[in-house]
Amino acid sequence: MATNRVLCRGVSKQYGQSIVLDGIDLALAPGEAVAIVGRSGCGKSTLLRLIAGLDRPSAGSIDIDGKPLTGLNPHARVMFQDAALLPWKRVIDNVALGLLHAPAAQRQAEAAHALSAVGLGPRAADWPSVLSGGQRQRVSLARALACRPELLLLDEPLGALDALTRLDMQVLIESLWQSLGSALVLVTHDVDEAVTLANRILVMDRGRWTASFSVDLPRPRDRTAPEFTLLRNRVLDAVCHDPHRLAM
Amino acid sequence: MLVPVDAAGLGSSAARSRLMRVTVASGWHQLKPWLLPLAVLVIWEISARLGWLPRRILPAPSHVLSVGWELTVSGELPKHLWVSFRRAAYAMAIGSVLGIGLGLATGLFRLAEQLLDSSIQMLRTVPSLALIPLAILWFGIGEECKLFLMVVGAFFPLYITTYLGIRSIDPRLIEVAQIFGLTRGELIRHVLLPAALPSVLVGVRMAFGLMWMNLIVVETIATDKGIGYLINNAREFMQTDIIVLGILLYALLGKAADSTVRLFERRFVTWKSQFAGV
Repeated sequence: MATNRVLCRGVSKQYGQSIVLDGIDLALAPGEAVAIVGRSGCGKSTLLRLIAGLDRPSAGSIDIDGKPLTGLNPHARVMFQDAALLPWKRVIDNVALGLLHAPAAQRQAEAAHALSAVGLGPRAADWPSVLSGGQRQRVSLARALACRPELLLLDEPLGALDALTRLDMQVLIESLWQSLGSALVLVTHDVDEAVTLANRILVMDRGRWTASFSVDLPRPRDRTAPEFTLLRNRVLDAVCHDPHRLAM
Repeated sequence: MLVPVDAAGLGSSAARSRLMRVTVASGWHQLKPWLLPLAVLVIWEISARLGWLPRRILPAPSHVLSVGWELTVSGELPKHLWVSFRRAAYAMAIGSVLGIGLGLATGLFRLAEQLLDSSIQMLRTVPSLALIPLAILWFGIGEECKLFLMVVGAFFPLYITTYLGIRSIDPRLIEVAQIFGLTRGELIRHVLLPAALPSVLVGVRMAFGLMWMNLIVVETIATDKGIGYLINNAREFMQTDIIVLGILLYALLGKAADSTVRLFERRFVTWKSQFAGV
């Protein structure tokens, strides 16, 4: 049996008095795509930061490929909601950021390859400031993919984009993820996006899992198919269902 | 916009007149900053010629120019100019090394910040010209004393802008650098230093200003060389023309220094899209 790429056991995170994550378990197989959905502030981004090694859990353990995670996770690449490109580096040099330790020729080739994979090859010499929001996100995606990570962590990567660009990006992310074969964790509040991209959808509320769905629809997924709509509605129900909240 | 030459049809008269308009427009654009100084000069010249301005109060620009020419030919002016320029260059060099160096240290390393920053901020509030008596006691009235006061002028703006430039960086970018496996040295080189550069260059411009001010003051105390001496000496003999000449030279040198820094900015901070005014 292959070891889990990520294995979280009883992970909790506490900031002062507030408990953000409360005993989270998560096992992620290599090549699997998991979507974490929930309302804003439910702790889903915090979990992603813990898996990336940007923060330490207050309790519990995180194993990466069977080894406990201490410090930064070297196999993970994160894509944030804001592209977080370095404004003083040209597009191509931003993509090459994760390849600094590779020989120069290889660095150039892999960065150019990743950039053309997201369809921005001709913009290599531009400054990030002249790109549109969607293009910046694609550069950010290329940067994350350029080093062929085993684990791709997407933190609401498309939250700031318009609806049409978002659909294009979802197609792009799916095809790149499939060709790369890396494990994917997608944090989002967009249920459609989760159903489109994930093998498994986990619903989080106040730092705990409240529901889990496996998605067995054929790829690429047809948003108009009845199965898609049915599953989307079930996930949406799980996200919105909250016995503690007042009815709106 | 890039258009192939033949497609633009430079042979046609319409294209030629368009090109003409562009040239005239860009010429006008470059001329605009000079309009005000030129207008002042013209009005000044006319007023002096018509006798509204007594020569003892303010001689005509043409007269100042001819005095400048005489002094240049005699070698007097180049000598003083060179001394002032050298003082400025030394002070800027030493001030930059100290100011940017310490700014980098306190910006990058928490220990340096804790040890140094509050003391430097305290010294910063002392007007540098208040140090003149102390500087004279320490260094005498020679070059060292002058250099010291000019370096003090250049130091603080450089220190503060370098420190702030590093500290005001978006923390998200540092996280990105960590995630992408940058070492500490790479983080400094690829993220922190470029982030601080625009701020440092603003500091260089401000440092030039303060250093220049201190230069003018120190060149009036116990010296026999430099533009400040020229002005001070001229006052003794009521040579208003030389005083005005010296002031104009200070203005030109200051402008030249500022333009150099801006050139540097345009060359190295091209990535920054700036608000160009409405």
